[in-house]
Amino acid sequence: MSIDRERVREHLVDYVDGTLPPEARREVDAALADDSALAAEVADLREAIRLASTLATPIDPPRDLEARVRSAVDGSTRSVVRWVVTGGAGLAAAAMLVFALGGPYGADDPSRDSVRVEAKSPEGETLGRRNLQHDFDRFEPKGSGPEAEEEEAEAPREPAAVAKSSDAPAPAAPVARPTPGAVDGGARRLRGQPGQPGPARGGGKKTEASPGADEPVQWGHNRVSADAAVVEVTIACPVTARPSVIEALVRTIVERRLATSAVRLKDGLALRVDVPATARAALLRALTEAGATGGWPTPAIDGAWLVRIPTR
Amino acid sequence: MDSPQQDSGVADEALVRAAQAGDRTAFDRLIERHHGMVFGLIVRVLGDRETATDATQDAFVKAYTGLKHFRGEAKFSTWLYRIALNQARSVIRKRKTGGPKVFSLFSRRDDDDTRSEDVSDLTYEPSAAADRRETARTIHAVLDTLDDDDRELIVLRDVDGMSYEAIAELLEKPLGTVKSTLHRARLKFVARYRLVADGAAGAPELDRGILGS
Repeated sequence: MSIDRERVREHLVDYVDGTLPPEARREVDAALADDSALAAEVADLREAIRLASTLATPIDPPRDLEARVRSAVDGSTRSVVRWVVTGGAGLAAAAMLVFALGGPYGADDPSRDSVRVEAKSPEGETLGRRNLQHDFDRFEPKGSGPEAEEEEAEAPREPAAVAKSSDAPAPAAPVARPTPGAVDGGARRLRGQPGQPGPARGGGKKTEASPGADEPVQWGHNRVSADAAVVEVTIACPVTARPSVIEALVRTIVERRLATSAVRLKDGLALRVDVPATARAALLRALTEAGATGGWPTPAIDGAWLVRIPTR
Repeated sequence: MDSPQQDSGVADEALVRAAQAGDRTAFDRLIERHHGMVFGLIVRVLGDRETATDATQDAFVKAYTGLKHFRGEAKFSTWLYRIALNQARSVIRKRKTGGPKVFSLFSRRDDDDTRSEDVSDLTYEPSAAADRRETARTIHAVLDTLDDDDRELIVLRDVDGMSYEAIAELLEKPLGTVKSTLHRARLKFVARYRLVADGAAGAPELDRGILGS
C-alpha cells in the first residue's frame, strides 16, 4: 500500500485529538499499520498531550490580586518587587517568606531601603516581620575593586572562585554584599557543611522559621541591577546533604545571570540555564569542585541547559 | 473565547463601552471577571506565580490605557488575553536577554499546592503523589526550554484546553499554522522530556567524566 506520509502527517493533530472524520481516520489507521515510524510519532504526540495535561490543574490567583490590579490601574501605587522564596530548612512548613523591596519600585533611592521580610502562611496570614538593612551603597561589581579581593580572601573555598577564571565573563551586574548581621548570618548558614543535614531535616518547626525570632533568616544571595532598582533574592536549602553543590550552582548561576528559571525536584534541582560558551567551562568546573556527583547537564538545547543536581 | 464570568448579565462589551466612556467602575468589573483567567494564562506560560502576579497587573494597566483603541473586532477577552500573552513574552524576553531577572530558586508553581514539601520533602517517602509532583516540575522545566511559540501552543491547547480556533484568533495565526506548529512542538517537548526523565542517557558528551559517577 502506498502511503502519502506527509499527507497523513498533516492529519495527525486531529487524529490524536479524535476529531478526524471517520473516513480520514481509517486512512490514517491504515497508514499507521504500515509505517512503524509514523506509529511511533503518534505515540509521541499522545505522550506529549498526556504529559502536558498533567499540568491542567486549577490555578487560584493570589487573594489580593484583584485589589492589586485595581491599584495598579489606578496608578496610585506601583507593585513592590516580590519574590516568594521557600526552601530554607528553618522555614516553617506552612510558611513562606516574602521579600519586598521597601518603597515604590524604582521610585525612591534604594540605597536607603531596607528589605522587609514577611513570613506568611499559605492562607496569607502574616506570621512575622523583620527588616533587614541593606547597605546598598556598598554594592560594587565583583572583581572591580579592592573589596572584591577582600571578599575573595575572606571567603571559604567556594566554587564561585573557580568560576572567576579567565575564561569566564565578568559579572554583568553588581552583586550585593551581605551586610553583617542577619544577612551575613544567613549566608553562613546557607553554606552549611557538605554532608551534613541542616538543623531541620525532616521538616522544621515554625518557630525556627519565624522571621520574628532570633534565628537568622536563611538566604543566600541577593543582587541589585545596574540601576539598583531590582533586587533578586535566592535561597538555597541548607538542609540537604550537599549544600556545597547548591551553593556552587546558585553562586555561579546567579552571579553570571545564567538562570532563567529553577524548579526543585524531589531529589534535586532542575534549572533552566542559558549558558554562554565562555561560562560553560567555569560552570562545570564549579560543579566538579563542589563535589557534585551524579549530576548531569544535558547537551545544549537551543542554547540552554537543563542541569539537574542531586541535593542529597 | 468565552468570558469567564458573565454573572451579572452585563456583557463584557457593554462594560467596555462604559469604561471607554470613563466609567472606572465598569473596568473594575472587567478586572473582577478576568483577572483570574489572565493570571492563570500568564502563570502557565511563565511557570512562576510571583512574576505572573506582577505581569497580570501590568497587563491590565496596558489594557486600561489601551482601551480607547479597542474597536470590538475581537472579543474583549481575546484582546485582553493577547495583551496578557504579550506581557508574558516580554517577561521571558527580559529573562533571556539578561535583563533584571525575577528569579526565585524555589519559586512556587501552580502545582505547588504543597509548599510544605518544599521545606520538608527532604525525607521523601515514595508515593504516587510525590511522583506526580516531581513529574509536574520536570514538565515545567522542560517547557521552559521550548521556544516561546512552542511553549505557548502546548500551554494553550494541552494544558488550558483552548480550542484551535480560539488559539488561532489569540495568536493571530492561521489555523493550519497553529496545528502544524503544535505538532512539531509536541514532538520536541516529549523528546526533551525523555531526555530529562531518562537522565544521562541523552547526554553522553557532557555526562562522561565531568561530574563524576
